[in-house]
Amino acid sequence: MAADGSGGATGVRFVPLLGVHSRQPLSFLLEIEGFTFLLDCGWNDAYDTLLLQPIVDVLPQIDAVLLSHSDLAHLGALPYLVGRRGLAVPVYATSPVHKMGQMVMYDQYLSRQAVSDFDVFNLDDIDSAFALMQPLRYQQNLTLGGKGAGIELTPFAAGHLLGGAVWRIRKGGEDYVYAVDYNHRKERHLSGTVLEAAFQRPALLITDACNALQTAPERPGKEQQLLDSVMATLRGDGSVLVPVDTAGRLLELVLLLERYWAEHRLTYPLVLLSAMAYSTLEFAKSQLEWMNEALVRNLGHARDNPFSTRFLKLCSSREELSHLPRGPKLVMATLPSLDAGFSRQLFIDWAGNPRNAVVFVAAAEEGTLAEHVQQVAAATQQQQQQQQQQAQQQAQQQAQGAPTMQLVRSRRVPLEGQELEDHLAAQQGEQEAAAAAAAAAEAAEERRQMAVDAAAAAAAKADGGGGGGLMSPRASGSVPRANSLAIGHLHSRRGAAAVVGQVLAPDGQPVEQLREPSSTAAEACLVEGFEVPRGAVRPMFPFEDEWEHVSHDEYGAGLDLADFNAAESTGKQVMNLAKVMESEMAAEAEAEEAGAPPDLPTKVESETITVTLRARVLQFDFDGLSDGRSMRTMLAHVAPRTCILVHGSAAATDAMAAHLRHDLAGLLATVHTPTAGQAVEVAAEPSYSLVLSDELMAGVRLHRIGDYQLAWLEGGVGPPADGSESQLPQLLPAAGAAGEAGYGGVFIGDVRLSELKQALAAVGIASEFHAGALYCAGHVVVKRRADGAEEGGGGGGLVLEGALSEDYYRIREVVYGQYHIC
Amino acid sequence: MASLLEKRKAADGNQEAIVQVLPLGAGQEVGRSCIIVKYGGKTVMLDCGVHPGFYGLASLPFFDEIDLAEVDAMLVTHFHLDHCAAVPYVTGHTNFKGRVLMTHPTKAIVHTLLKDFVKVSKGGGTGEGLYTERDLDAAMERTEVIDFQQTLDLGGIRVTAYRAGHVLGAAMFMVEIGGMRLLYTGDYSRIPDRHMPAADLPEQRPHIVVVESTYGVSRHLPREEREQRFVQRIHAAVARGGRVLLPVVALGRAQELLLILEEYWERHPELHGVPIYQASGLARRAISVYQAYIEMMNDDIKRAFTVANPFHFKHISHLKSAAHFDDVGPCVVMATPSMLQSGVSRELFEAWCEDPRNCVIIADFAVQGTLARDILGNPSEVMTRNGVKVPLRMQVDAISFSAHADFPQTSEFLDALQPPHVVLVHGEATEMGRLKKALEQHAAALNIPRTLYMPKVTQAVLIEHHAECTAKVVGRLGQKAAAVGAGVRGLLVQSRGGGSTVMHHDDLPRFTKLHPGRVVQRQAMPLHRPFTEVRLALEMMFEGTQGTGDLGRVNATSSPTGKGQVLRIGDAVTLTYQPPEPGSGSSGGQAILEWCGGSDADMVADAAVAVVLQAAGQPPGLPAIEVLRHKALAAGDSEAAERAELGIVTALLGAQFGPARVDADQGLIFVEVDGQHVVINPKGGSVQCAHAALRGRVEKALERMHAALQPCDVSDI
Repeated sequence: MAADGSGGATGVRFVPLLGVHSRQPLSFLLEIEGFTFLLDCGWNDAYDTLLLQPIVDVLPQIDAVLLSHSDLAHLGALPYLVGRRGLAVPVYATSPVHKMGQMVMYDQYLSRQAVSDFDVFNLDDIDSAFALMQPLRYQQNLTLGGKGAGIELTPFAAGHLLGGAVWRIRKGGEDYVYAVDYNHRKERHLSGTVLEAAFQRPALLITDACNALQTAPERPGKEQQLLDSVMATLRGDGSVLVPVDTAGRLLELVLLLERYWAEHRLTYPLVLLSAMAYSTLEFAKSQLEWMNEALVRNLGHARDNPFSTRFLKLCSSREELSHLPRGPKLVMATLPSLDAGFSRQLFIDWAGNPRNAVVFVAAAEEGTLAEHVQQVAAATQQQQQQQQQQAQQQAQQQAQGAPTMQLVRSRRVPLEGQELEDHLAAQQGEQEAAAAAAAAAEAAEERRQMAVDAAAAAAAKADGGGGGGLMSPRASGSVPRANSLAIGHLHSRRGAAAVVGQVLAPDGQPVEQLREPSSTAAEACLVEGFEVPRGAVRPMFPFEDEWEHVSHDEYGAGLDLADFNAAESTGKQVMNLAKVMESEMAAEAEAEEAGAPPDLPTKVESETITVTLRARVLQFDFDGLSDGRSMRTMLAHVAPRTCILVHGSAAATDAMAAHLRHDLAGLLATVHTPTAGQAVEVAAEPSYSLVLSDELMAGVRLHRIGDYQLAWLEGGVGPPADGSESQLPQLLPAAGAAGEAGYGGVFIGDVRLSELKQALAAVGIASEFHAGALYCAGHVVVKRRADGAEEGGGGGGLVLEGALSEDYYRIREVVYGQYHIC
Repeated sequence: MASLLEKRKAADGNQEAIVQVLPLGAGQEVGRSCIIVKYGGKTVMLDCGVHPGFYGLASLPFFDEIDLAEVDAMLVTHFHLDHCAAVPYVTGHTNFKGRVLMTHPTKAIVHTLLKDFVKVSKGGGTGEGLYTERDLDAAMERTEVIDFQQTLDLGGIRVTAYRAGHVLGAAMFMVEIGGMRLLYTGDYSRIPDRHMPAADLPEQRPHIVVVESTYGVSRHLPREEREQRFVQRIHAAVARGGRVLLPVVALGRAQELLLILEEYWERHPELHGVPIYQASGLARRAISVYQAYIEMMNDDIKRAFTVANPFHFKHISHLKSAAHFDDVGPCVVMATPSMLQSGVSRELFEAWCEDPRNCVIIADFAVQGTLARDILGNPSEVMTRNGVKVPLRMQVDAISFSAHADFPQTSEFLDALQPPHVVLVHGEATEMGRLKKALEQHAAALNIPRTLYMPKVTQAVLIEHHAECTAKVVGRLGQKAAAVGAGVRGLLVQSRGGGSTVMHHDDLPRFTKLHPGRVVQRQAMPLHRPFTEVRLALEMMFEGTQGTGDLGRVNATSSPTGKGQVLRIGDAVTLTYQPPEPGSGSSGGQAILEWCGGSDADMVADAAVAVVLQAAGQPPGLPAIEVLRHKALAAGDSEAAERAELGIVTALLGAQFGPARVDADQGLIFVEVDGQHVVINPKGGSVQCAHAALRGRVEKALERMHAALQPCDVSDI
């Protein structure tokens, strides 16, 4: 499918690469008049590079990447594709997707790296991938240049995750919309999607069918259930493990739990255990403008950043967790899949205790431990229910009831003795090789921006060749590491500092003699800082927030000069506060250190252990996605002219397709459910543009009908007007001056008989229903026109039947009144 | 002013083509920014502030000049009082019904700031303030937010917010109405500073720019130089054991200074023993907003944020109240108000002014008549508020950290945007005049078309703008581009998004969610005459009716009852004749007229009804003659046709005036009415009769009959 192929250059072509008829990660190709977008590039916990083969195959065609959400399923493959496969095109995403997505990938890498020699991508790959990002704001129109000239990209709020985007791609006045995983409900931290309001009859809508078969429970009930079971466990002296994602739904959960803890003044530790815990929360604090407005309402005067949590404790290592008081606690830990990360460690430790509970807040990905646990738990529950029916065997069953599972427990340990020596020798060799490779690569590569990536790739290759199973997390020593870790140590504020630094004399002492004689006249003082021309009275309007005679502070207490010479102790309080802050910062920095793998050569030790699942396993739908029914309602409202369904089990996809075909039947929409690799061509709608001349518009009468304004238009095409910006042909009033000839001939709308009955009653015409028809004034019948009636143009409309009479004309007048007539 | 507009309206009859820019405030003055823009039936208010030089109602913009109910939207650029403080007044005490937009940080800070404003204006001795705290809360409740770079459509008004520099959350607004683009800069700065980015350069070229002119033609020193002097002075003062007083405005520049100090302290461990205090409650409360909206600031701050939030100051403590202040040694205190009129800054100044080691730095512009301005004159002593004269020994400095554009910035900005029209606001008349002249000369030198305006308050600027309205022709009409001269008939559809399309009405469901409606009508009429007579009458009425040649064609399948005769009249109307049921004994059949409602078809159908009814009431025998005439006409036998016409006229006259007798040879008709004899020559149209009145009546009737004998043309319908 070359971009310059016969059909490719004019139409729109959609090829699903991953994630159709399944809940697999998402990745699709959308080609619009020769410009190819990669819509999302997700991956899953298996990190199987084979899965990405369809993307790798089309990599050279891709001109830009659009990301919708900040989770693994939507952007997980980006570091691999950029770092290892050389994808180097602009990546468009909203700023939270950029920031949070990076956190997600760091967390993924660090969690994997801690328990395995994870080699699919490294931190450099993540950095170089996210360096390609061009952050956008909601409803920011970005016009592409070059090959994509004429394409306008706009992200809209999707609702599901912070910064989650529904993408609109506009070309030639047609809208192509990519909307997956949206949520219409207003939540604690997010407002709902604007999907419904923003789009009307787009030429193409690519959307998901994931939740087509789901019916969402009422939110308050759902949340209460979750809290109830959490509390039951904690009060029963058990701990709760909530496997969470790094930066997505976590935020909603944090707000929910924090508020509950605050309301009930709970003392059980509430912990977020994630390598990225601090960064995630810090970013959340600074992205309030992307959140629900209600959340921000109090910000100015109440000084409450909703993510300045009082109860939630942030931990970035097991060690920090162990400092907390013993006893029951609620720990939210990443990763959600239980395949790696703190959640897996805690699961192994806690699963054996029947007092504990594991609470899943999201549907598990296929093939993960989370899914396995959920299945096992469901099966056990079923079994138990059956057994309860056979009550006599109960005692016996309980003894053997708890299911067990074989798990691999891995951890990274520093190398010692002979191993260490071997490794150091090997590493030296590697470094030389890598240096050579990097040098070669640098020489070859002229593009400065790509140099780092290339070097990283080269180094990685060298690693793979010589390192075997052993690999330091910072193995590629020769590679200049611009930013080695998630946050911290990245950028000093060097640039700004240089300016101030000049104040110092060369010997480093502050320069004192610079004091200028302040004997200059008032004018001289005035001109310092800017030039004021003679005669200028007040170059800048002074702005004062506190008017004259401020004798009270903002708490109403009188201000007294004497207060300024207060006792020493109060001064200390201030200093103490500063110290507390300082120590907090230090703790934070320490935490970052702890989260990073040590810079020593290490190896991974694995053992297979048997875990008995005695803890309760609970599952709540906290996904924040629209349910099937709402999706239907919304899609019927958006009413795309062509709809492509992706991402959802085969059953869900089929069900959704059937629904849509039914709902959109009257609107001549087509619904596609392509399989992976199967291209869908969307025919370009032939059209041309005209300038409507003022003379023509002067005679046009617009009728407002719902969201539209309509008018009958009749004119003749003339040459472009003089000095026209667009140089398009003009539409001038028809020469025959019979401007109104067609007027009144077009009826628009759909009239219900019941409404008609009311309208008739309003003018005093009695009418009644009989056999589906409305009998008016005794001898005129109004009924619905049967669907598919003659004369084409679809069904609908009314039939007015009756004998010639005065009433007939009166009734007709009322019927006409129900329509908009152009 | 209005009269001029009326005149212009009358002159070209097209008010749509004129953009009206009307400053209700900030016209040749600084303060109460409020500019009204009208175009294409839409009205937008840009900013809504108060004048700081006046109190109460006098400080408001001149709202009486317009009907506030007409304002569709109010856009507020930033949180300074001269740009936002009148918002609750307008929303709470006028008939304003429009929408209010601000950026996120502006909204957050405006709320805090105006709360203070409400308190202060109440306490200011002027009695009741302009509005209450409840008005403020209500105003905030209805305020919508817009993000930078975001484009919102407010029903025909497209608004895009751009960064303006200046202060946190400050925006410039691009307003697009019907293809006319106007950029309002508010207060802006094109030079990035510590925390704010430079103002954006909008990618779309505006037709009109409304720009601030605060600084007129003056130029700023480079920022680095100013910063350097600032920290030098402070360092020197604390190094000699002095105290430094920084009187500031609580929000905006204060945060910039804090960033400078924080960084300098960070780099100078020897200063760590010297505390920095921030003594404004307002600034303390608003700092959370600053911390939250890091994303709105410049790249330096964003980059620093990846390490730690730069607004978590390590070396700066907030003074909760004066009681917490411990004046024991060198320190730096940032206090309000900026002009040392009163409050904390004044108290500290008075306490410290006698010690030559101390230092006060005026960072804002010093307004005449304030202590801040006085001390810049280097007096040897100052008057305390207690009326005691004390010697002024402390060091006094003024270093400006202003964030308004200066002349080079404004000039470059306009050169880049190249708007044909520039309206100057927010500046004093003399400064503005200089700026206008300089910009005009600059444009002339570069040969850029540019007209400058500097309206006074309430003086409207009228700018002619001709916007093109383009429409896309789609669906079956858009299959191939229309050639010049071709006709286009269809529906013009304007959707909410603003796009205009032209389509055939049957394409409506493909492109919109509208359905073309249909009202199929069936009207039944009893018919007691043979159908052939009705058919003839219709044929005579509607010449060119499709089916003239095959009138009477029986089409059994399309007849509702399965039998009967179907007649098509034009394209729109069919008439079905159902003969009487043989067994029913009824004498007549039924004619059913069927058509699809619409102005044209209704007209034809109604005419057909009239014809049918008329045919039903015609004198007997007439239809037979008409058949003869029709046949004769068809055969081209004019003589026979004439004879038949004579017969028709005779029959008609007979119906009207009583028994008529025809003399076919002479072509004369004789009628006797109440004993009066009338002789008629229908061919010549002459009537002979002794009774004049009767003759007149007959003549008129004859005339009408002649007219009726000529068929009318309905081939178009």
